Amino acid sequence: MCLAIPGKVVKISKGIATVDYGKERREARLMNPEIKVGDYVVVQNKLILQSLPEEQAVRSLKEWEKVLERH
Amino acid sequence: MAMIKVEHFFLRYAYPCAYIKLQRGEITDEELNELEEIAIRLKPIDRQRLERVFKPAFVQIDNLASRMHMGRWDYDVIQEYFYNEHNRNIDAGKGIYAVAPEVLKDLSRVHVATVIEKRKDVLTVEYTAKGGEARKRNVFDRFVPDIKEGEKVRIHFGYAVERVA
Repeated sequence: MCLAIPGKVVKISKGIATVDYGKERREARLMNPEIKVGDYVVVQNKLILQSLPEEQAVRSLKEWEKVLERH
Repeated sequence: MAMIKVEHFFLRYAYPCAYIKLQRGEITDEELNELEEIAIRLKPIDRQRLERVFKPAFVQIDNLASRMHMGRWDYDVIQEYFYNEHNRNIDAGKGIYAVAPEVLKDLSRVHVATVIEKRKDVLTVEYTAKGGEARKRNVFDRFVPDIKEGEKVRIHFGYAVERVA
């Protein structure tokens, strides 16, 4: 899954989060105990970098389609 | 980090962007891994390859080099690009940043950050985002494995690129 595309945490087990991107799910290392199921996160190289508010995540997902068309 | 070759200095900053190229199918997993290995181990790499993989960056670097009356591979040009020009381009909405979501812009900007925690190969850093908001991010320490808590680093996407004196 592309860097900086937000995904939703749907499962957490033993420090590993399952992140849902709609078409696929990926696992990522979770280093932040405050991140919970339902939170949106950005991941790079199987590491959760940070979480972000749902409103911003949903808006980002729509805007990403334009980015991937142009970059 | 000023002692390393300019090609490696460039690659360490540019490498995190290569994940977008992977997503678009412009490079393979193998090439991405090889680039990281080259960046970490400072293995030889030719300029033409970097110019091919990171072609959009060199459009901006050439503009900067022209204004600085220097060449695209001059150390001062590459350094100025990643320390200042890259962020200015993002803020000005150049290229993909005309339509990029703020989360991508924030990840793309090079920030000076303070290491507040180190666990295995991951640093939790704190930085001031555009607008003045304090944010935390996890980044890999692969380019600065000897960094310590309390020290400052420049970060780009999910990587601490170099120590800030």
